[in-house]
Amino acid sequence: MTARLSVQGITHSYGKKPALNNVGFSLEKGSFCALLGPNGAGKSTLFSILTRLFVPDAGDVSVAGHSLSRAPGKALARIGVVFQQPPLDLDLTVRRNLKYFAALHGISGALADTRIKAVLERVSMSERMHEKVRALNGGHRRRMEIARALIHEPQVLLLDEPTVGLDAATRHAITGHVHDLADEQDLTVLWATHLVDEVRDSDRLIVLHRGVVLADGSAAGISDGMTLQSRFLEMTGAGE
Amino acid sequence: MKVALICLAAIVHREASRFISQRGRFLAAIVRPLVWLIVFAAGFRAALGLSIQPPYQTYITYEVYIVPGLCGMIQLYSGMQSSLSLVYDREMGSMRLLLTSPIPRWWLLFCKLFASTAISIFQVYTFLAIAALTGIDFSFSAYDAILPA
Repeated sequence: MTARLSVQGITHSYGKKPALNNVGFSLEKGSFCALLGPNGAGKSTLFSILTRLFVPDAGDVSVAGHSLSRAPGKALARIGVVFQQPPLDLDLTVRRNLKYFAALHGISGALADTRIKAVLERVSMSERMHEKVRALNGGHRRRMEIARALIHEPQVLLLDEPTVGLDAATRHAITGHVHDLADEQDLTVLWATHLVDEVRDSDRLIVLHRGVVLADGSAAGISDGMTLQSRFLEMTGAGE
Repeated sequence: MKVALICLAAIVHREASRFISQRGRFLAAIVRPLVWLIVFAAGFRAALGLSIQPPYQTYITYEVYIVPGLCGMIQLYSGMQSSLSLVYDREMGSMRLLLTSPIPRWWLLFCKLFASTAISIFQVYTFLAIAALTGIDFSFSAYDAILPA
């Protein structure tokens, strides 16, 4: 079976400074994978490569069998992205923002309206459809971002530190919600974070540090009897 | 093809709604050439103008002579404003939305340029309409001819 998201030998550097060195992994349908790494580990660089904002020096990414370098249109159409900073137009309503994004994926008219209704229901925000984004709080904006990323029914959902700046309860709710999406919708999720409490024991975990994959496996397996927090600190040498 | 047109319509709509919400920008774009046309031209008309020489059969007053230049000025400033909106998009992150969409980038760039051009042409026609109200009007074919220009 073809992997939903396959990353092979990605190497990237900013000038002489290496950011990623031979990073590779593949994710199957319906899997939730946490990409854990301290600040500066290369998570955002990897996300920029996965979304084709950067072209890597070496290696390739394929989404559901479509190479990002050879067939970018087909690959990008299957990816939903939630960025660290929500790229929403604050002066437009929730609906108009979603309409704009739907149009960028070639969805318009009645189909766009149906999809918008469905994704807002999925994140329990239907009643906010006609409010301006400026009036929403941080948690709602983030949920709307997730709704936006799902509007074109992607197969892979990429989230780059989606809980930054949110309180503990909202973080917990959003983490739970995305786990549900992976389970119920067979969505492949790659969740970048530096917060270990967002990772469940059953999740696939990739630890990235200084541009290199330090560990790849189940979260329970990697923590190996220790708490994930102390194992993570030990691996990244932060406790030294 | 249909996807490309949907994308074009969405980008033009977004640029237009941004332009409408920035009333100050529109006002400044119109007031600047109007000040030149009404205040300066009134002062200069006695001293400057285009004498009778081919292809003109009559004396061309300064305020008529300056109108094409003012149209160019509007378009120049409008172009600068649109470029600034690209910078704003990049800072706010909405450029990433465009770049991560499956539409080819050259088409996205075309859509942005088309939207900016449409807005600057709208400004030029508004300026010409106000100029016409003050008595500086042209033939219909002249208005038609400046559209491709």
